[in-house]
Amino acid sequence: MTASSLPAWLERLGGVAFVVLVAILPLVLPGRFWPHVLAITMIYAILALGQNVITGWCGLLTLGQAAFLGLGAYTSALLTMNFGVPWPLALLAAGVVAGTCGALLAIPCLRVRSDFLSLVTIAFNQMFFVIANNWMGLTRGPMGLPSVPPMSLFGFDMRSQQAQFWTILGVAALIYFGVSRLTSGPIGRAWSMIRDDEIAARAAGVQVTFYKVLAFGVGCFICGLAGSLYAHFLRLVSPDMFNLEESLLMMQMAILGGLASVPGSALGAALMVLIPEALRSSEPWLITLRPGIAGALLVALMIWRPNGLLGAAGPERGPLHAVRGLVRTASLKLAMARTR
Amino acid sequence: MNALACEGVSKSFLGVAALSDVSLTVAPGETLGIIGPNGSGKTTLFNIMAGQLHADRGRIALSGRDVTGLAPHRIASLGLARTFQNLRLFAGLTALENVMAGGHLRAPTGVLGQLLRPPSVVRAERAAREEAAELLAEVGLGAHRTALPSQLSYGQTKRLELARALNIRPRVLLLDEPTAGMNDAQASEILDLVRRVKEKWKLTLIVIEHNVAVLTRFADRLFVLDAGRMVTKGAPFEVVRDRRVIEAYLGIGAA
Repeated sequence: MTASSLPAWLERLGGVAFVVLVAILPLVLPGRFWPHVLAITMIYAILALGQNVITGWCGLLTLGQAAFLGLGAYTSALLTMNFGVPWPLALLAAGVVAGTCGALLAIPCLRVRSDFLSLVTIAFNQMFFVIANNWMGLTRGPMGLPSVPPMSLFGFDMRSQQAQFWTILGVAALIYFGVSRLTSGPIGRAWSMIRDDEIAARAAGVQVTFYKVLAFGVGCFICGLAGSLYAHFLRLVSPDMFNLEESLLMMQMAILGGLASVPGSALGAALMVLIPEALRSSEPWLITLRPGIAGALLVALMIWRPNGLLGAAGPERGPLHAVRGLVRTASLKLAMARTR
Repeated sequence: MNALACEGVSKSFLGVAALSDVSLTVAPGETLGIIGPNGSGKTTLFNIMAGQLHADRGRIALSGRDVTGLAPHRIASLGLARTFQNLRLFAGLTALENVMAGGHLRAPTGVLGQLLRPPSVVRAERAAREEAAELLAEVGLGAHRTALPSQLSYGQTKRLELARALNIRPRVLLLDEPTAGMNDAQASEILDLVRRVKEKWKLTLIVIEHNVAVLTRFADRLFVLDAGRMVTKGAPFEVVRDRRVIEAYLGIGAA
């Protein structure tokens, strides 16, 4: 809930117009490369939004979201491959499994704050990676799960790139719609209250623990849905797709676009996926600069727009005044980790 | 029945007694002033009444109901609201949203309801917005709905916090130094406002104040704390002449 200057109906209209515009893209873009990159961008936009629910609105610095992406991906892939579950059901199951695990993980995690919470979630991410990499019987370990079936709706497999693109767009649009509704009402307000001042939130009647668990549950549910899209779009699941690097990327997207900003999450994802891909397609060696560019971007951001690109301007007036210190720490950690 | 009663409340931090055996009662509609030097345990007492801290010994009753050990959000839902000594506003929310935050307990917070937004949910949110706007106007901030707390003056943030506390719709309101850092004119302005809202919502008030002169005019009764113990209590003009009170403030021998 940022202090937006646009009237609600105009924002809604802008959202619909944007979705329509994106839907036209695969028809007008030549070749298969850019539609593919855009589909990946949309999946990351979902992930950035899930991260943003937990970190931007509720103020919890979690750094293990790739584990929930992986949980969703493996759940969906295994259900469709081993049990013939139709994809829409597997998608939902992926969300539910990831969301439930997120909520369960949140319960012990809520005893620790800020820096410690990020350590616990990093540890969870590493545990997930180790298990996925070693449980040969279920995940085939580092060989991964090849030939995951494509997405399907009502029994029809979606083999064309365009159909897959639109399906991903549809799911992403629904998730963005849902999150804007959740965050613009009393639930989003309660999350922001907790982020800004836990003691005052309690005094105003907010059941803090419940809302933190809810934020984790919702954020990880969203992450799990993205996992299913990811698995069935790439037709492949392997453990190294869900390492800590991925978690850092999600956090970076959420911060870059603007914490507690719905359109900011999409913008952050677009920048972090499209710029490197544009570099790669013009001069392949430029991609090696990616971590450096990302780090420099974050440092510049913390100096000039500490609330993110679509967050409110000016350090003193931003809606994220309360978590700015937290975000600074996180950005520095990210910048260091990514330039390693 | 008392609006609020503390009975034998004691609290120590790492062996240092912050409150020892404090008992007090407040009748419905009464204004009780709590005075005492720095570190005498006034705010600790507030924190225990509101559930932010739990007493080591003793009981708290709100309108006759035992609330000892309940969580702050439960106590808030039973009709107690407070303001904080050093303002705790929500920095990322606008003034209007800060007041709406106080209405959290009345808001429909089901996830499904918020996603689907049936008419009842839409109406509730609109009503909450209107009520909050009225309260903002009531405290004189009607023109600052979209301002963030950091864009308001100190006096305005104090008023905003009062509006948020009122939106909890309490029966008992705890005010922790409502006039701290204000000059006399500003102080009497905010106390006039407090008096007005107290009459309007039939509130029971407990006020912590440093400015004893202000409080003797404002409170029905005074309760004096020093080093975690009650020194005396009673009608304001008797209390401020009490030798023990003067000693607590100015040192032994001053009287």
